[in-house]
Amino acid sequence: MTRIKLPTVYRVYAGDNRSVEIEAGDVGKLLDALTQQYPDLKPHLFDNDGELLSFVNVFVNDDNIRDLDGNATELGERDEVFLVPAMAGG
Amino acid sequence: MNLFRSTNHLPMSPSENRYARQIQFAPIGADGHDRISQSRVAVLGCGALGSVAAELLGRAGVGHLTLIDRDVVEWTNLQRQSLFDESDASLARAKSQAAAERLGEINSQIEIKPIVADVTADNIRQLLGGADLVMDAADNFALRFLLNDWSLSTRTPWVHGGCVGANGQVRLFTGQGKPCFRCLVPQPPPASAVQTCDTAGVIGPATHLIASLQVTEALKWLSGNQDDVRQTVLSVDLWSNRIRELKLGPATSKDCMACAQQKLEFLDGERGQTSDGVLCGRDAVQISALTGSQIDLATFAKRWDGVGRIQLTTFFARLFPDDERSLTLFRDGRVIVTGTSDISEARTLYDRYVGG
Repeated sequence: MTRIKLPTVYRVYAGDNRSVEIEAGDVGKLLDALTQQYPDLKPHLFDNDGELLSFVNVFVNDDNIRDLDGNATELGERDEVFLVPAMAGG
Repeated sequence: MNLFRSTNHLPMSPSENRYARQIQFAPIGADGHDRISQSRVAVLGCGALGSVAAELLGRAGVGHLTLIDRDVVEWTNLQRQSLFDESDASLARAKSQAAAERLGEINSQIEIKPIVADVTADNIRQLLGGADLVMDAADNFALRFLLNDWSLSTRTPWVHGGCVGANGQVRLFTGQGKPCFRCLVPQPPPASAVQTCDTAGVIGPATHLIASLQVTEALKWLSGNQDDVRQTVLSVDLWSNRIRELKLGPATSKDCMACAQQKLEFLDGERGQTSDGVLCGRDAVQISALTGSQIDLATFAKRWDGVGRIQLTTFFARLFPDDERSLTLFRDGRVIVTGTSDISEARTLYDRYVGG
């Protein structure tokens, strides 16, 4: 199981969970499973074409998946995935 | 130990050793402080991040501060925006002006220039020209993308900060690219996907922390300690007790529209011109000016005579058509409609009382 940690601003769309554990082989499958489990989260992560919104950066441990293999980045049992949306407020 | 001290013993003129503890900090020292005192910094936005950043920079002795904001102080600001008080909110004073006055009381030895303006592709070169560094305290993405383009075009560093809820992030971008802000956020998000202070709220400790982290990076840069500037994006979630440093590797910059391809769409005016929009954390809508011409505020105040209560200042004219709503017209033609977050309702009020 890979643990995906949710920022506080997304918790309200994911049953108030701080983190969710999901069995998935790569990041794409993990995010698909996450948004199937919590559909309210989907518009905050994906556009209408199903593409991950570019202002949400996904990190596996400390590395941006854009520096790895994108959605195909493989996940191990000990990996932690972080969703880091850009912040509008100032 | 003296527990009481006569006020007669308090210094009556600015003390020469007010920066002693900063100079004592070895990485800054006397040389670093000299550099800080000769620096020109623009603070873009005087809200939650900007008011704290401006205060810290002013206390640190940054020699020339330009405070830029388009907005006025409201009661909902006081929970976190440290330079403002109840009097500022009661009078709905222009934020940059109120911040500059308060900061002038804190440090009279530095130059502080308040500017009430909406920063756009048309005026950003003029407003930020000459700055050694810019603090990002914007409340919207359009302005950050514009600032990033300007930074790349002038090779001027800026310190990105963003904060919503208890989350925030910080990184200094040097203006040299690879990376730049667009490497981190390639495209502006759709409005429906963005969490703002309106939708998610925001807590004071988070904004103070993010602003403090921004100023730390700024002081490193300004004092000549560029090698100590953080290379990662610092991401903080205070409520979930997470602080992480996130890498921006070379692959994120490889195809970057701005710094790799040199397409400065926001600065060129092709994208992201400031448009009508709900203001972050407020029951208010900004209606953008259609032309760049300056407004004669007194003329409008006269035109509104008999329509409702009117407030006229150097920076704005305000009409209260009823008890719930107000329209604040600035000299650059922008109007902030308070009492609604419905853009079409705000536009209707604008058309009715301002027009054009």
